[in-house]
Amino acid sequence: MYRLVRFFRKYYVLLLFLLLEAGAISYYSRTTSYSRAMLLAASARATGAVHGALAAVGDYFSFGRTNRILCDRVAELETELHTLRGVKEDVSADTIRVPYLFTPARVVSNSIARQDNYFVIDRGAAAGVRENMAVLTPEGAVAGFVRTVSPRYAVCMSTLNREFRLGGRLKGTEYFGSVYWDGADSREMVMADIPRYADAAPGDTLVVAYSSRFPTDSFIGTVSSLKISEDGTSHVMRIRLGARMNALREVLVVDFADHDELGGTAGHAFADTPDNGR
Amino acid sequence: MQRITEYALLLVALVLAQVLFFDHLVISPYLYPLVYVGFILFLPPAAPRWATLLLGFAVGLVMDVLSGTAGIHTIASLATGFMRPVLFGAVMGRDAAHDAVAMPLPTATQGQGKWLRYVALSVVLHCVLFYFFEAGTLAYAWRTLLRIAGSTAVTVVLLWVLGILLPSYRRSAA
Repeated sequence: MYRLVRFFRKYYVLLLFLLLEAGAISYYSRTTSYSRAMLLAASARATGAVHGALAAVGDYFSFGRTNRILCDRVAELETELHTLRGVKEDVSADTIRVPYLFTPARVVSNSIARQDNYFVIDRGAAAGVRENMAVLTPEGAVAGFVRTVSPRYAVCMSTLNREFRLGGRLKGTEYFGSVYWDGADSREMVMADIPRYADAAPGDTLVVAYSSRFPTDSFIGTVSSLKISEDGTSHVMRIRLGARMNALREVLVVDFADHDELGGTAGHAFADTPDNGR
Repeated sequence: MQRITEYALLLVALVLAQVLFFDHLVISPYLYPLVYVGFILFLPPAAPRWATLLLGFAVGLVMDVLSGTAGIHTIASLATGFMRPVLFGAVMGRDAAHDAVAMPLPTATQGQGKWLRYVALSVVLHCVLFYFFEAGTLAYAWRTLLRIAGSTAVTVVLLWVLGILLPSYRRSAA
């Protein structure tokens, strides 16, 4: 008995360390991307107001750039509007269906330094934001999707997250493949599985091919370099992201009207991230 | 009492700096400073080992809760808290570790070279655990090693600057 007491007195710090470390590792090993997003949502509730205030300071310095983007976008949409005015008489009101509904939001917290990055936006369930909605930049480039929501905030999985997957297509062709982040460079993603015989070159544009969240043909990025895969059958491309993830401030949350129906019947057929651990 | 207040303020300042500023630094995936580890490294060297361990656990837990990470900060901070007395003693000498009750700042220890060695070793240990657990795989080990190198370098520089600034702050507060 005395020996046991002596043992504990001598090694109690080591035993305490092993006990606590084992508890922490056990907790870590049981978490999924969804539970991490839930944790982030909880922390966003606590720190959201401060992040919001800091984001407002950041906004002040990016007004010029934001204005330019908005002007370009207005010009583009005006052109589209005037083009469509010519055909609107042919369409009756009851045949018009809105497949994608866009809601503006502001990024209050963002990270690019981790392997699994998330960002937090200042619109949550109260504003109609729901899980699995796509998030685009004001220019229309893919930025991420909503992982979990609280009443006032939403935690979004960034494109810079190793669990992010999306089906991409080389614009103007029928070739498509899987787009993902390999954790190396915050400005680039990787696209695999484009057949070797496909005509591809640096500078080619990559858009969304099939997605249960993102509007088809949303801009992903441009090919910055490409090489042949190890098995020699396909291209492996590095994609320069269209979204400037290190300067993400204003975003558009996209509500895809068919998401639930499509996800329920054919969710497994899409390359988008599966809802792990739920 | 004054010392407890001093360390409580240091803890709050470092955690807030980490959560509100450094966590959102969008420079590069390879430069992510973990400045909150400074709280463990600046604890009095003569503090009991159990206290260093529990304070390491506490700071890691606070960081995990505030940054929504699932135990990674706690895993790294526990190890750093546990190994801190060993590393300090190994670099500064056992006697220095036993006697020192003051905050181990670069100006207050036996030369800045030794202080840098002590801090660098501790931060490397912290970053190795943090980044390998964050990566969750050894598949891209060279990339993880690059992250460890970059983050260790910026963390040590920032802690050195903090270590230089703290005495002047304390003088002006006195």
